[in-house]
Amino acid sequence: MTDTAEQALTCLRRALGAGAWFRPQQAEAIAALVDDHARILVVQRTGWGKSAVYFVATRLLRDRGAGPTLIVSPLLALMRDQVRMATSLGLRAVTINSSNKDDWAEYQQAILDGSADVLLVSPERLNNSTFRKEILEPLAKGTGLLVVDEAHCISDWGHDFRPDYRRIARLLQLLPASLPVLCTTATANDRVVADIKEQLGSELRLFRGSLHRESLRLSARRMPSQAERLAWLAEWLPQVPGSGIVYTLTVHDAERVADWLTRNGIDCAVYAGESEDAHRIETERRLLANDIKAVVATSALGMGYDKPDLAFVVHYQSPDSPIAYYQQVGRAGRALPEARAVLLSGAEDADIWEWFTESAFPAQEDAERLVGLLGDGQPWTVRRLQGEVNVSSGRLLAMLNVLEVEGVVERVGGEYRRSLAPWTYDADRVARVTAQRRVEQQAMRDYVATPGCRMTFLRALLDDADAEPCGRCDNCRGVPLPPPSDRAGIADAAAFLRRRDVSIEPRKKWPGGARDGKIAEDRRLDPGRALSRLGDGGWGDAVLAAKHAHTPFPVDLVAAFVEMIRSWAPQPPPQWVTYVPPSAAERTQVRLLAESVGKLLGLPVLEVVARRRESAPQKLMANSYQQLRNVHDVYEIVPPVPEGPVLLVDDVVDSRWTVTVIGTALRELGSGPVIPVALARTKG
Amino acid sequence: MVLSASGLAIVALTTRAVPSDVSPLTGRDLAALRRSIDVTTVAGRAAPDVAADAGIPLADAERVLRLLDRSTAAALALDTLGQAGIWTTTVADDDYPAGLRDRLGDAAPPVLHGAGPAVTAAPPLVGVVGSRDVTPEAAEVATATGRLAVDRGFGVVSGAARGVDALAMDAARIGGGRAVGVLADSLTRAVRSAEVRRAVLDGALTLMTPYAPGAGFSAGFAMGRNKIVYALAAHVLVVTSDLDRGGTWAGALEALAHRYSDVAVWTGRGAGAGNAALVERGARGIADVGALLDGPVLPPAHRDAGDDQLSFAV
Repeated sequence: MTDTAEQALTCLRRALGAGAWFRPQQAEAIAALVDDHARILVVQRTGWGKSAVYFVATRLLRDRGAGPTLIVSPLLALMRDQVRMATSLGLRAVTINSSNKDDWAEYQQAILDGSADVLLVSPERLNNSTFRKEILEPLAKGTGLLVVDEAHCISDWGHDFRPDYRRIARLLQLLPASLPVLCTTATANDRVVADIKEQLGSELRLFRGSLHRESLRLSARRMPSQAERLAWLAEWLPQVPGSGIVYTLTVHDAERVADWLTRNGIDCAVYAGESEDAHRIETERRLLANDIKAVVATSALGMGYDKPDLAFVVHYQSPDSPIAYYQQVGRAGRALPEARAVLLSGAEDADIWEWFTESAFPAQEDAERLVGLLGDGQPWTVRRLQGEVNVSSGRLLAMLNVLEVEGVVERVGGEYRRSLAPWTYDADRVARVTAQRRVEQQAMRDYVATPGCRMTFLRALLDDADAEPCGRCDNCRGVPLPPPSDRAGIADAAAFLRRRDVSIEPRKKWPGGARDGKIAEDRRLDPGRALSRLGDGGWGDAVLAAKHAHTPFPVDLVAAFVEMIRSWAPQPPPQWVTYVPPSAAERTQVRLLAESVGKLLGLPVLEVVARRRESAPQKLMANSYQQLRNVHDVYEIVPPVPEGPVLLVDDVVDSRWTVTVIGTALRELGSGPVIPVALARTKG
Repeated sequence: MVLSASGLAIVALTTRAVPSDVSPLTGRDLAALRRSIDVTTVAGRAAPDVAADAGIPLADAERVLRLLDRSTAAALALDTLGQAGIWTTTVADDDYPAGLRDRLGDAAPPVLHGAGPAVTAAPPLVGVVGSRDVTPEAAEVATATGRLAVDRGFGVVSGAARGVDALAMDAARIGGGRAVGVLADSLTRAVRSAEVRRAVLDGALTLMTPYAPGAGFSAGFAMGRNKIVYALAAHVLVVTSDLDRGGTWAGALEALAHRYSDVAVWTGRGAGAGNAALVERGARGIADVGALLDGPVLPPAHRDAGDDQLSFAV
């Protein structure tokens, strides 16, 4: 045994107990870092023990006089676990993130004077200029070891490419070759490994182990309707032992599924990127402690989450990449004899994939327009940019973020301007990555359809293929996953999906441009309501179908709409009904709808709103500024306007600017409160 | 932006853009060190070992090692600059202007930071130097030189100060040509101007400096800048110079003494006593701007490495 190997083992035993041994390749990886100052890529399944590698390596390097270790990791959850783990090796680990601002000064001092051994940061923090200037650059001895967690995010070919990692890759190319670097991932096929090598240097040494999970029992089934899948969950979850995760593709779906499960007496919580930190921490804790049946999560709960006895992972919708899928299920059942991984594939999956694919990159036209505008040398506010570029504010910020990370745009105070670096839209890269995504989407369809061993199928895609059939999956056992058996359950779920009315919150402020400033309280809309979300698996599907077919809205839909208004009983009660005059293309649908509403509620329908001109469909306008500009002068009110409260009927409410413009005009001409009601809201 | 391994070591050894508790090497220190040892092989070794290998005093080896400890910090600083579109090159990298290496020898700046297209991609350059406060005659000469350069397929290089520098560079850009400004200080401040940013993004303007991009002005920096203007240019016109004082005067004498470039001086209308004195010291007097390009293009001064610096002195 070499000196390093001996010291490493002593160190490991100090942390884990006298009987501990290294797992295969751990000792070799440590020696490569400590003795050779090498750059290495470790591809090992979750639970292999990569943190033992970097903490033992840190201990040995520190004992040899090296600077502190810098760990870059995308997950807060991971960081909390790791700080605890480092302590057991006599290492002081600190993390600098947005939730511990009060401790920054102390930690900064500890890092600079060498009393901290490990600094954990997110990729975003690493790219933050203040952080670099004040903490990383002044380190007298520099960094002793750099760890990049979830290194597959560097690769375009990875399912989970993150712009911040692109900058890390550039930084790695600049860093001195004498700095040891450890990149880790639990997910990388040959193509991703090759791409990481290309970006980080061909001398990158690979330590790769099998990704196989013996305890995983895979099954999959196509179940197009949401009602069927909800019913299946309500039947299946109470029968399966232990706690687990139900993945959905969108936050809306997660909320809907959690709502349904709760109504069915199943203890669960939602976990999404948008959730509050405190809620996420608490949810992680409850899952870890088996103090909850299921966490209904988006992919925000994934990388780095380590629960050895995770009993099941169910996908309510199919992810768009087998690599992403394996990463999500691969963490199940590490310390259990059997864990279930069930994939349900729905009718809406492909639409959602398509949306992800399209929004993965800014459109060439939008990006070029944006960069062109910023190229005038002046800083721009986001609001000013919205007036010039027809993209949603979320998308605009995402574009600015990508361009900033790529060094095309820089932030000056709260404003953006063009950096001095040349730029062209990389259409080849976009086409290449988009084509790859479609290949992966097809692989997911094939996974659901395959009659062969599912584990073999997935491992082949991960280039981890010495694979014998697993003998555990539904195909190997010859027992397909049964559909829900309870017809009443499916009917319940269908009814549940149809009782998902959503509020229409009044707009309180004009966005600027066509109109500016606050909307006076006596001109605002009253809170309104929509029967559904467009295409939500309930009434929203019927709305969409009728709009596409240009046929009158079906009787049962209209009846449900009126029933919603009745049981909601807005106060003050409406005394008359009017509607948003449709464009030529839609002609009679909304008028017929308003007439039915009036007849069923016993209220007069008055045509006081007229259309002055045709306008572009509001759904083509991507932000408030553009939406208001599109409609602010389209309508006029034809007096007389009755005094009482009025129901303002529309089929689909999108940005709310149309109803807001009409509502303020009605109030100005003396109407009572204006209550907007619609069959559907757009998703958003 | 990717630097060679030598390039990164050179930045770590010389830059003042990263804090240091020992003083960074000068260009001459660096040149001497590079003759003694390959700077990419030094980091991580013991000081006595390095001293023995390079044949330098132990104290020097220790200083070099301390400076190389800054490599990671230097890489971070360069990446931050790169993010703002400011590039970095070093005397050991391919995109470093060959004219500087060849003509300045050991006095060549080890590191250049800049914005805009690389100078290696520029056409041959005409240099313009002179005072900040200009007479109408001098202004006319500066502008005419900028126009002439563009007409004849040259770009303009100058110190990017107001006065003749700015007039010549503007004339070149207005004529659709390239301008290169060599700054003695404050690159990061210079690129804040909206007009400068537009010109840089259009590919019409390169600004560069041998000093830390955030560094402020000092007289020594101005002299260091002057020799770069000369060494980058095929021909340099001194539009106006004080007599026996000022940076233009000193810079011209230095360029003549070391043959950094073909040095011409304006002797036409409005020329003063300083200009005449430069003719006496060997500058080529011209009274017609068109004659600027008639001068000889100097071959790269063949400077035998080690002529004036045998040891690496701290």
